Amino acid sequence: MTVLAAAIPAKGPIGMTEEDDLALVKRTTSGDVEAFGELVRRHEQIVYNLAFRFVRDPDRAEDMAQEAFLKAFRLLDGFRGDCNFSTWLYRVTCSVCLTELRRLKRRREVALEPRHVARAAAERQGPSEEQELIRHCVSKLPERYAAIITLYYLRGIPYEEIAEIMEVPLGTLKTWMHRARRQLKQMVEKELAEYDVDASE
Amino acid sequence: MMSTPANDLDARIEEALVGEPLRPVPFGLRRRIDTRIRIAAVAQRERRHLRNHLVFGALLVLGMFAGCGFVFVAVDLDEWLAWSMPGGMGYFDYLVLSLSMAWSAWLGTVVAWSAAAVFAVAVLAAVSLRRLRHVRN
Repeated sequence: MTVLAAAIPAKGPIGMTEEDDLALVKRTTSGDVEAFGELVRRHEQIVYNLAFRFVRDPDRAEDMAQEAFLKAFRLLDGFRGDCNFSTWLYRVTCSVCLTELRRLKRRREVALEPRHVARAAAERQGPSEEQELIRHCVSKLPERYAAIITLYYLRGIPYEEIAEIMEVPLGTLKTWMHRARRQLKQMVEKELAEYDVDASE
Repeated sequence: MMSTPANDLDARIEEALVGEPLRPVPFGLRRRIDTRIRIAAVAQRERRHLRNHLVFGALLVLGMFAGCGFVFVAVDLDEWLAWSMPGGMGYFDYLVLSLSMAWSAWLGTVVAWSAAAVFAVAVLAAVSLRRLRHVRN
């Protein structure tokens, strides 16, 4: 947890930002499109990175980010302000990304296996291939597990907020998180073993 | 490198996930989002205008029907025609007779087609409104 806290970029005074966000939402719903542009400016990095961690493809992540903001704009009238705007926006983004993942699975557009991605990263002299392999394993978890792990590690969103985003009770989220970690560990172990076999051949 | 003992696997997973840096936003993403938002805003506004016009048109037609009904009831047209103008009763008889004769001829056809057209427009408007609501959601 301390490692995580150290890695999270400073977020600024949450209360003030959210208050401003709500004011911008009100301006947008009353017809001021520029106000929504400001909301895009504030949240584009997190939304883009959230989408990237779901799909692991920069171009597709960009499309997903655009779709997420567009959907948020269309649904903005339904935002009642009973949670933070960022929470609501992450929920919309998750929904868009999960729909896209489902569509990809339906069309059988299978992503590269994590170990192939790790090898490609090693060939490119990029980040540690093992780390790359682990990150790709997350996107291969079942949807809801991938979503909560991604949200948690993206900027250390607390469990309470993730539960709100996923619209599940806190207890359920903790159970999911436990299962997600266990499943991720099993998957990583398996991938590492296969990677070692491939590498030795 | 890959053969580190499995007992620190948790720590390695944690490190890999926590240590993933935030990627920079692609150049031009905000501009592209802004463009799409502006188009969506215009489409939304136009949809709202269309809905308002449809509702206004429907209310106008209904109002006209209601107004005509009210005039017929309130003015008591046959009485008015019969007693308020010279030769009124004869004129009233003439109107009733010509209407009843015309009903089965071309006027009846026109009225029937008009009624059918109004019904078709109402159905189309209802379908359009449903689709607009669906698209918006």
